[in-house]
Amino acid sequence: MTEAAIAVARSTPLPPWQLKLRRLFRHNGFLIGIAIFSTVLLATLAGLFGLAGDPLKINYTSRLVGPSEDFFFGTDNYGRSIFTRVIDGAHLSMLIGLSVVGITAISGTLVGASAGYFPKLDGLIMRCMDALMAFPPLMLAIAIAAALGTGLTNLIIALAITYTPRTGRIVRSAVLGIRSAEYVESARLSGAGHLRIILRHILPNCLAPLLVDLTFVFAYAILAEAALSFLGVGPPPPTPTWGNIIAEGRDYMVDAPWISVFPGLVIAFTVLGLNLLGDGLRDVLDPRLVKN
Amino acid sequence: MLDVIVRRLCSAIPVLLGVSLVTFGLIHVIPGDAAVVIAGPDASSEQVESIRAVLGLDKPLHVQFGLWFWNLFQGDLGDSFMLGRSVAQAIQERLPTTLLLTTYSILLTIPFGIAAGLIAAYRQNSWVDTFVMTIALVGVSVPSFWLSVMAVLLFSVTLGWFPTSGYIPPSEDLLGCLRSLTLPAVSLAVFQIGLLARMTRATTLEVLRQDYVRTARAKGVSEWRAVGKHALANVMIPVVTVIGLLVSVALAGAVVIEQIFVLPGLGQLVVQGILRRDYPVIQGSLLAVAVLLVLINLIVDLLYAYLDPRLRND
Amino acid sequence: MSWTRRDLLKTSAMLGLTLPASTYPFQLAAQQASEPKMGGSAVVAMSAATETIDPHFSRSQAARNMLMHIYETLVTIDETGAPQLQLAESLEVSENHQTYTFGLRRGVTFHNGKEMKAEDVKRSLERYAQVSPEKVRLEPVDTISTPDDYTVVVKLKNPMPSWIELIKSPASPMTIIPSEECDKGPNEIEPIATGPFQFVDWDGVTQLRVRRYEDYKPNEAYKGRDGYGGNRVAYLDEVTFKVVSEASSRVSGLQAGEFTIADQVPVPAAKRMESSPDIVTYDRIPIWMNLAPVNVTRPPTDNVLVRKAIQHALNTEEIMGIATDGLFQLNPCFVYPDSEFYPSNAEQMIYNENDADKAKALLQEAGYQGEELVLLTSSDIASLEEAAVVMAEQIKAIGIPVDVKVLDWPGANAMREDPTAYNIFSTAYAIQPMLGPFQYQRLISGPGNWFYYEEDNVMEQAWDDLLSAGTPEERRKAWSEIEFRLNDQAYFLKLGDRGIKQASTAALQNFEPYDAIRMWNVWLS
Repeated sequence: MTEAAIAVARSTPLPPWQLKLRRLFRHNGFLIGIAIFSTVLLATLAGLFGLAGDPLKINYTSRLVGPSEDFFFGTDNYGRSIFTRVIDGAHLSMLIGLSVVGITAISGTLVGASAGYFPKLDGLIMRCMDALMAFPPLMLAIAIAAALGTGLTNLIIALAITYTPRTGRIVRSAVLGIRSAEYVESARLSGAGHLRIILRHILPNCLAPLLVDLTFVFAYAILAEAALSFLGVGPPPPTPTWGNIIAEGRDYMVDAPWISVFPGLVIAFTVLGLNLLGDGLRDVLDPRLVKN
Repeated sequence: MLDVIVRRLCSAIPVLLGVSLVTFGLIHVIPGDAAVVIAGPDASSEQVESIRAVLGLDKPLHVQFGLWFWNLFQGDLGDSFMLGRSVAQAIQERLPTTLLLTTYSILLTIPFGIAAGLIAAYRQNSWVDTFVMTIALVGVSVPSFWLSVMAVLLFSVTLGWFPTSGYIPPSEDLLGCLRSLTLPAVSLAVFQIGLLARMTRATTLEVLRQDYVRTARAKGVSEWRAVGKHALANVMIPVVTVIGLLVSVALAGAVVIEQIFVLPGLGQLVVQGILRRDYPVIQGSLLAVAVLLVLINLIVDLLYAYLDPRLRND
Repeated sequence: MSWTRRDLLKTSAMLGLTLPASTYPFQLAAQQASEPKMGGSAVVAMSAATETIDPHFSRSQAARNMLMHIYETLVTIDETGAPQLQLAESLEVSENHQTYTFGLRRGVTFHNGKEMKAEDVKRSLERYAQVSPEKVRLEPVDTISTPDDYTVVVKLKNPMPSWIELIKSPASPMTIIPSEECDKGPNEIEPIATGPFQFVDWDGVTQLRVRRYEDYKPNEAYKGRDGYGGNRVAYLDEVTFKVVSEASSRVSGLQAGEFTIADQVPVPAAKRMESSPDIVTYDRIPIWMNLAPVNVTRPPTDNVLVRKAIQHALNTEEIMGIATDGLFQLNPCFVYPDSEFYPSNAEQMIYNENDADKAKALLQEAGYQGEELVLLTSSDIASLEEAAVVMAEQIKAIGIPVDVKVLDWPGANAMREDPTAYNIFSTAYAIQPMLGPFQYQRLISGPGNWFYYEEDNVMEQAWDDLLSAGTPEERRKAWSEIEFRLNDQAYFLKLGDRGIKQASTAALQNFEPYDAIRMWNVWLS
C-alpha cells in the first residue's frame, strides 16, 4: 500500500456507525454497564450448567444458617443454599428480561409503525393503547398475571402487554417524524409498496430510540418480576426467581435477613448495569445529544 | 379553555369504556372464585356450591357481565363479596389513604428530584454531577418493595423510630398519621426522586444549549441568573408533564407498598380483591384508579397548556 | 312418631354434653394468673382477615378468630371439641333420636337490649338453612316449633343420634341472632348477637373492633372458660383485631408494644422472644393437620401400587419439620391422639417410612412408565407450600418426575375440583380433626369424595356402621375401619399435626391458645 493510499484512508471520515461505536466504548457508564451485565451473564451460564449446585436441594440439618464458607449467602428454611438459588435465578431473570424485550420489541414496533404510518388506524390503535396505559403499569401486570394464571410464560406475556403501549408510542413518534421525510416521499413516488417502505426506510431509522427504550424495558421487567413474585402472582415457588427468594424470606426477615438481603442486592446490581447500558446508548444514539 | 376540558373529557370516555371492558374480561378469566375463599380449606363441594349460589356466581358469565354493566350505567359499582359494604363505599374509604401516600411521596419527590437534576446539569461533568447522578441511578435500580422491607428492618425493628405497619387516619392524629406514612412514602419516593432527577438533568441540559441561554450568557448575565431566570421557566414545562407519569408510577408502587405496610388503600384493595376473587371490588377499584389517572393527566395537560403560551392560544 | 307423644328421656349424658373437664389436652404449664381485673384495651395481630361478619355465612378460621367473641350458639364445643350447651340450658333428646328439645337460658339479651327468645332461635335456624354454606346440617330437620318463649323443639325427618355432632361446629356457627335480622340476605345483617363482646366497627380488611357488652349474662352452669363455651367473662373494655399479614411485622409490632398478642409467630422469632421478660410465648399444638388427598383417576396415581410407593417414600418427619419449623407431632391418623376415636393400633399404618428401596420395588411391581406427577398446593398458607416442596423432592428421589403447581387459594381449589389436572393436593384441615369423625363424611366418602374413587364398598359400609352405631365401642371400631381403609388404599397421605406459636405481652393474663384466639376471660395486669 502506498503512502498516498494510507493518507487517503486516514482522511476519510469513519462511517457514522463506527463513530458511534467508538464513542460508545469511550463512555465510562456504558463500560461499567457492560462489565456488570457480563458478570450477570457469567452467573447465568453458571446457573444453566448447574455449576453452583442444585437450587432445590433440601438440607434438613442446616436450615436458616447464616452466610458461611459452605453457604456464601446463607440458607433458607429448607436448608437450601441462597447463593445457589440466586445464581440459578439469574438465568430465569435473564430469560424473563430478554423474552419481555423480544416480545415488546415486536409488538411495540407493529403497533407503533402501523399507528404512525397509517393515519386511519392511528386513532383506534392509540385509544386502545391509552386504555392500557390508564392503569398503573404494575397493577395491569398483576391483573393480567392473575388472569392468565401464575407461571413463567404468563408473567412474560403480562409484562410484555404492559410495556407494549410505551414502546409503541416511542416507535410511533419516530415514524411520524420520518414519514414525510424526502427519501420516504421519493421511495413512495417511485412506486414502492407500504411494506417495503416501512421495512427498508422507516424502521431502520427507528432502531436507535427503540434500542434505548428496550434496555430500560429490560430493567423494568426485572424489577417488575421481583415485585410480582413478592405479591404472589409471579412464577410459582419453588422456582428460584429473585423475587421468589426475597418473598420466601419475608417470614424470617428479622431472624434470617440474609435470605432476602442478597437477592435484593443482586437485583439492584443487575438493574443498575442495565440502566448504565441504556444511558450510554442514549447518550450516543440520541440525535439531539449527538450534535453537541 | 372550557372547550379544551370538554373535548378532553369526551375523549376520555372511550378510554374508560375500554378500561372497564378490559377489567371485566381480565377478572373473569382468573381461575377459582370467591366461594372457595369463604368456604375455607376443609369445605366439601356442596358447601362451596351453596356459597356460589348466594354470591350469584352460578349465573352464566354473560348474565353477570350484563348485570354489572347495567348497574354501572346507573352509577352502581355493586357490593363486595367479602367486605360487608358496597364497592363505592370501600373505594371511598380507601381513596384518602392512597391519595395521602402518593401525595406525600410526590411532595418529597418534587423538591429533591428537581434540585438534584438542576445541580447536576449546572455542574455537568463535575464530581458533583457524577455523585448526584450515581445516587439517582441507584435510586431507580433498587426494587422499592425490597427497600421498604429493609427500611422496616432498620428504622422500625432496630431503631424503633416508626411503626412497622398500620395506618392512622389524619382525622384521628395528624402527627401519628404522618409517622405511619413516612416509611412507605420515602420508600416510594426514592425511585421517583431518581427518575425526576434524571429527567430534570436531561431537560435542563437541553435548555441550557438553546440559543437564548447562550445569548444571555454571552451578554454577561451571571451564570446563576442565566440558569435561574431563563432556563428554569423552560425546564418547568416538560417537568410538569412528568408529574402525570410520576403519579402513575407512585400508584403502581403503592400497590406493593400498601401490602407491605398494611395500609388500607386502593392498591391493597385491588391485590386483596384479586387474591380473594372479589370480582366487584377488583372491577370497581381498577376502574377508580383508571379514572383517577385519566383525571390527573387531564389536569396535567391543562397545566401544561397554561404554562406554555404557544399552546394556550390554540 | 309425633313429638307430642314423645317419651322424653334425658340423653344429654349419653351424648357427651358434659360439664367442663378438669384436665384439658391443650393446657399450658400453669400460668401465674393474677386476680382478674376489669378494663384496658387489647390489640390482636392476626395473619388473615375475615371474609364476612355474617356468622351464618362465615366458615374460615380467620372468621372464628374475630367473630366468636360476638356470637353464641345453642350448642358449641368445649376444650376437647365435644359438644357443650351454650344458649340452651337443657337438651332433651327423644329415645329414638328424632326429636331434640332445647330449653333456653332466661334473661340472655342481644346487644340491642332485646331478650333472646324461642322465636329468635327458630328464625335464626331458618335463616341458617337458607344462607349458610353448612346448611346441609339442617337438612335432616323436619319441623321447628316453639311451644313457649323458652323452648325450641326440633323434629328430624329420620332418627339421627349424631345430629348434635353436626350442629356443634363453630365453622359456620349456628348463631342465634335477633329475629328481625333473619329476613336479610347473606352479608346484610347487623352483627348483633349475645356474646360477651359487641361489634363496634370493621373496615372490611385491616381491622375489626369489639367492646365489652355490659349486659352480658354469663353462663352460670359452668365454672370457667371452656372451649368456645363455658362461663365467658369479658374483662377488657375493647379489643381491636388487626390484620398484619407480614409475620415479621407482627413480631416487631408486639415487641414495640403496638400489639397485645400476635397470632402465628415464626418459630425462630418466638424462640428469640422467649428470653424476654416482657413477652410470653404459647404453643398451640396441634392446630391443624397437614395432609394430601391423592387423585385415584389420573395416572400415575390411578395405580394403587404407585400410591403405596409414594407412601413408603415419604419422610414425614422432614416434611413436617420444614413445614412447621419444628413445631409438629407425627400422627398417621385423621383424629388427634387424645381423641376417643384414635385407633389403638395406629402404629401399624404405613407412615413416615422413608424407605426408598421399598418404594422403588413397588414402582417396579406397578410397571410404572415414568409419567409425570402433578403436585398441587397453595401459596396462601406457607406450610402447605413448604410441605409440597419437600414432598416433591422426596418423590423425585424414587424416580417419579414431579411438577409442583403452586396457586393462590382460589386457583388451587378450582384445580382441585378438576380430577384430570393433578395427582396430589397438599392441604390442611383445621376444624375437622378437632370436631371428630362425623365431619369427614362428605370429604372422604360418597360421590363428592376428594380422591375421586367411583366405588368403594368397604368405605361406604364403614360409614354406614359409624353413623348407625349405638355404642361408643361400635363407633370406634367403625372409625378405625375408615382410618385403615384410607391408609391401605393410600387415598389420603397424612403428613402430620402442625402447631403454631403465639406470643403476647407479659401483661396479658390467663390466655390459653385454642382453635381461635380467645380474648374473653383474659385481663391485663
